Amino acid sequence: VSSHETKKPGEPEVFRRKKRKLDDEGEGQHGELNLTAMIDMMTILLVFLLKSYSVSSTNINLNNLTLPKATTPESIVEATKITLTTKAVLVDEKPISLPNGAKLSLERGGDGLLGFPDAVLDSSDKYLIPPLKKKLEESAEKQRKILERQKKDLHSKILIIADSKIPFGTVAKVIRTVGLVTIDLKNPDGSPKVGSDGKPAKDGWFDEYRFVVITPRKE
Amino acid sequence: MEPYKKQRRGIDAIEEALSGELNLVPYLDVMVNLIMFLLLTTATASAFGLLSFNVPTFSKGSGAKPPDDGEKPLELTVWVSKEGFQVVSNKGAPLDPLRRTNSKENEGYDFKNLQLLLERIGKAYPKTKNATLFVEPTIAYEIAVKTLEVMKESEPGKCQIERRLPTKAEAAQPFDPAAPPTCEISDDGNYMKCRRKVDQVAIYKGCLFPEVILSDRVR
Repeated sequence: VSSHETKKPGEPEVFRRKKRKLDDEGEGQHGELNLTAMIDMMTILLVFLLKSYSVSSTNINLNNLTLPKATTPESIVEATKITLTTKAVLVDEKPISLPNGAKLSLERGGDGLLGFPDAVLDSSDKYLIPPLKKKLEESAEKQRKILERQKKDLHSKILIIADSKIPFGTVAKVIRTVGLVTIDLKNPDGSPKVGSDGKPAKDGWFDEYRFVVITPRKE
Repeated sequence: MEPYKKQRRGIDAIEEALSGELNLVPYLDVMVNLIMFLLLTTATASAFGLLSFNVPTFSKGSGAKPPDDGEKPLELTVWVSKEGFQVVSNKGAPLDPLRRTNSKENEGYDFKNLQLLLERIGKAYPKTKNATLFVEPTIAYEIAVKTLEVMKESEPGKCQIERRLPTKAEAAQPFDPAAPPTCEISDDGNYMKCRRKVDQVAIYKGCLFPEVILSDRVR
């Protein structure tokens, strides 16, 4: 029961009503809004947006990058990201470390064969980029620990975010390098698994490949 | 009267502090700004899409199982070169190449006729859902992505993909991860179900060749 509803002994009903009306008008004159309902709504909205923002890998940095356009029903998923701009290769937004003095120029030249300089490629396999492989293996090892704790399938997805103007040969080298990233298999007791040839058994880490594209907006 | 007014104001402030009511206005300011930022970033992020592809497995597997009807399955390859498109298959007469035109759009690559040709092949072999895409190293990544899109979809936005865990009955069936995906068409012909991985089944509706193997060399 509110204060202005308190019944005083001997006070007539007509007076009480009039007093209540005056009290209400007085509150209105202060101009104070009741913000509680708005805060409630805002908090729910904020929690929802923060949650959906944190689980999505949508924070793709488009600086120095023009993505190809395509219609596709598949929307973005959580995965390891490789970004290929015309000047750099990044794994999860961090650039790969290159040998001393090596500079990347991944755009198409006159003959369209520019790409990774020899210093960056493996001496025996020109389709393998050792600094990228090393970075991906580090990332795979971190993910493996998390997935092992969650008792999930020990594989991962890769998203390739590449500039539309770079030659496909460059992307092909990256795809091949990704395919060569392996992890050592383990027995249920944690000991390393040995293959039939007596060597440590390995398995490919990335088993789902996707190109990131810009899709037309749905009306 | 002035000292009395000041004293009164002081008392009001103390009363307000003691009443336990929070000043919610700064909190509301922060929330509104955060919500605006999150809503804007979510709206921008929704413009990204993914184009999935497979990579060749040069492995231990025994290869794809031929279908029960004893007929050799269709092996389709789309070859993108400087000259244009060449569609190669193990069925029927060799197809004429789709040469590049003088058009500035898509660097003169004839995607319209490629789409018509693939649709014709798709209708003739409805049980085949996998194909190979070979792109020469000098071709722009943008053209490779566009070709991949045309191979997957007969018309923009028609192809729908759903991925799920295999049911108990599906999981009990033997599965070779090194072989290309084995697909089966539904009784009503509305969708195609492909076993992609040990822990994944993909349902394709309205797609042309959704399971594309991206090859970087002619094997």
